[in-house]
Amino acid sequence: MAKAPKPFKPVVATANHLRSGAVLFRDADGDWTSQVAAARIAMTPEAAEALLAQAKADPVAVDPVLIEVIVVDGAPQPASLRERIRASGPTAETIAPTEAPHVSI
Amino acid sequence: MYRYDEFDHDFVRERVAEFSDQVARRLSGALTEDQFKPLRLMNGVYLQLHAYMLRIAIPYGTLSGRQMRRLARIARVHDRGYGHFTTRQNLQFNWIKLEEMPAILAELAEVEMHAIQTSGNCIRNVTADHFAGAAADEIADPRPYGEILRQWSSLHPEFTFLPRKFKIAVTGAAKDRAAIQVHDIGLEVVRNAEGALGFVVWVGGGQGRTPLIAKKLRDFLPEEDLLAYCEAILRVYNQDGRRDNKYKARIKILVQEMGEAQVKEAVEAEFALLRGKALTLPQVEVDRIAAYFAPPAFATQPAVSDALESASRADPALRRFVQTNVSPHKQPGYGIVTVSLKPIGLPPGDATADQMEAVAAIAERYSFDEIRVSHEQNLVLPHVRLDDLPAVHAALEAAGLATPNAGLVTDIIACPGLDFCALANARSIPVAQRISERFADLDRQHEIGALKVKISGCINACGHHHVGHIGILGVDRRGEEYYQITLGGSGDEACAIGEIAGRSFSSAEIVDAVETVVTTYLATRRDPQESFLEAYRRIGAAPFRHALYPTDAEAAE
Repeated sequence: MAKAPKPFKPVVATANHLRSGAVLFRDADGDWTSQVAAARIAMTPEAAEALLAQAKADPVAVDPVLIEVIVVDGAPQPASLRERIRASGPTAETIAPTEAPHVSI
Repeated sequence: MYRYDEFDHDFVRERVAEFSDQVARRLSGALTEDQFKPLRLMNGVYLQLHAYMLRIAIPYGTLSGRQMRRLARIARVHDRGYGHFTTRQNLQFNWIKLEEMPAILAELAEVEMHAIQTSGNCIRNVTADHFAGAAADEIADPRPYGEILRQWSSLHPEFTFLPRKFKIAVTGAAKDRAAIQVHDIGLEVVRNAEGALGFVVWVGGGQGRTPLIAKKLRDFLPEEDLLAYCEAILRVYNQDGRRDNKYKARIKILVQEMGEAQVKEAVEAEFALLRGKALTLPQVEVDRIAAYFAPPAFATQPAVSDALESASRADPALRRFVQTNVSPHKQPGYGIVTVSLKPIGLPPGDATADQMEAVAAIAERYSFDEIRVSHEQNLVLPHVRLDDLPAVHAALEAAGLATPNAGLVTDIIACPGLDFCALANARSIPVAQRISERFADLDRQHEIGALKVKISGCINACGHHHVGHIGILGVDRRGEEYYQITLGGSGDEACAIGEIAGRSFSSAEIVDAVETVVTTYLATRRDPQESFLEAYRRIGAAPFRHALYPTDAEAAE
């Protein structure tokens, strides 16, 4: 018997900015944002495919991929720890004298 | 220190120009990421989780004050005001913009630095004993050999596309401070019965997912044959190393699969073809390179410093610092100062631009303008007069760099882990920080004594966990960070790969687990002089396993 297909989970498109390397998310206007909460959520495989295709067509972004998100109050949060750290910055206290992001995950 | 000649300058400048053009073409869209990636990796540029990372080579871990000041400037202008010293004696900047890379590499070239051979499947930047040229137990300074190997290996046309990366480490003393037995080639400088210099040659060591201790191929390789023999090893590896599987492509797997005897036979056969020809080192050239590393003009000093003795009596902090962070120097009246980059609760190996400049200034004034980077992620002032130690200690203290914990439980090695690294499965730095805070009490650290804790955020083992007395490996268990403990590893001349203690611990449990290991050691050691490693080797893993896993089923047997 064939295995039941895995249920589709909501995704957003993310990449790194070509010039700066900064983390980017594809937003609802087809632009890029640094805020995962402002990212466009694809709720179906078809929407996900279209979202990724658009992201890949944009040369300002390096290696766009889709990542799973959990939707909380309408806003997406990355499902995996790795992507939460990517979205929010290093979690460890730093010696950086300038304002490096420091968040609790 | 080595100074670039015209050839070196041209070589680095040409590379900067070439890479600047490649960056421009990438930014314009003329190159795709797939086309650009191998080019950027040849210049030490990675794309990590949050930004581009630039890994700068510090050949055999030696820096001048001027070079350190330049690193500080780059940190301040192009990064977030700090840098990260790595377990390969390199420096990583974690927040660099691609568009600024050409300017940074040009700034580095001005001070005879670059990022070549810090990535890719080539012969990587050669590492050496960080006490080179200073240690009391040294037979000869290993850095001239490091420099000779650098000149031979830089863009070596035959070895630019090896099956996998290739790391060489050199030590000039029997006491191995460069972890040579866990390198692809490890070289120990020795003298034979006739007093001639040569090398013990180790091949096929490494950590990663298959940790293996190197095999000794030669008890004595004459100095003049250094390059011919290394070339023979590389040829055998380049020819027979596996290219079908990335995880089996290092020379250690070839040595394991072929067997020590057959590898030796193949290398010796190749060496027979190369020996006595173009790769034989002319003595005049060895002497020319060695002259760059000639000892500085040491003053004639009494072996004991009255000034230091009386200052130490008056200042317990200085006394403690001297006890842990100053090592014996070959020159009477001098000491080697370890500058700990492991302040309690902060990321191991990080230094701010201000701290880099402070170290540069101290080195210029008190250490003949020499700085070393250790693979244990500390800095070293190799040549400090004992009379000057009170002033050096005070200057380090003012810069927040006088943590007296070298070699103690809080002198932790940790890779960048999941906070930065695209390969990591779990975070390393926060675990290091929490262990450091748990053991912050200096009296307790001294009571525990020599103890090396090493943490990696994935099986690639950049944090050297396999050779930690206590090793910690981060793993991903169903999306959660877990940490596996290994015990009894050692990266010195009595090299050992740590044994897995048992099931892994959650992030919440791991610090308590380390504490359990430490208290078990304290309860079972014969006397305070018996170190953790000695005790472990005497009593084995069982008492630690029983303490960590009260129910036996969880322990690895």
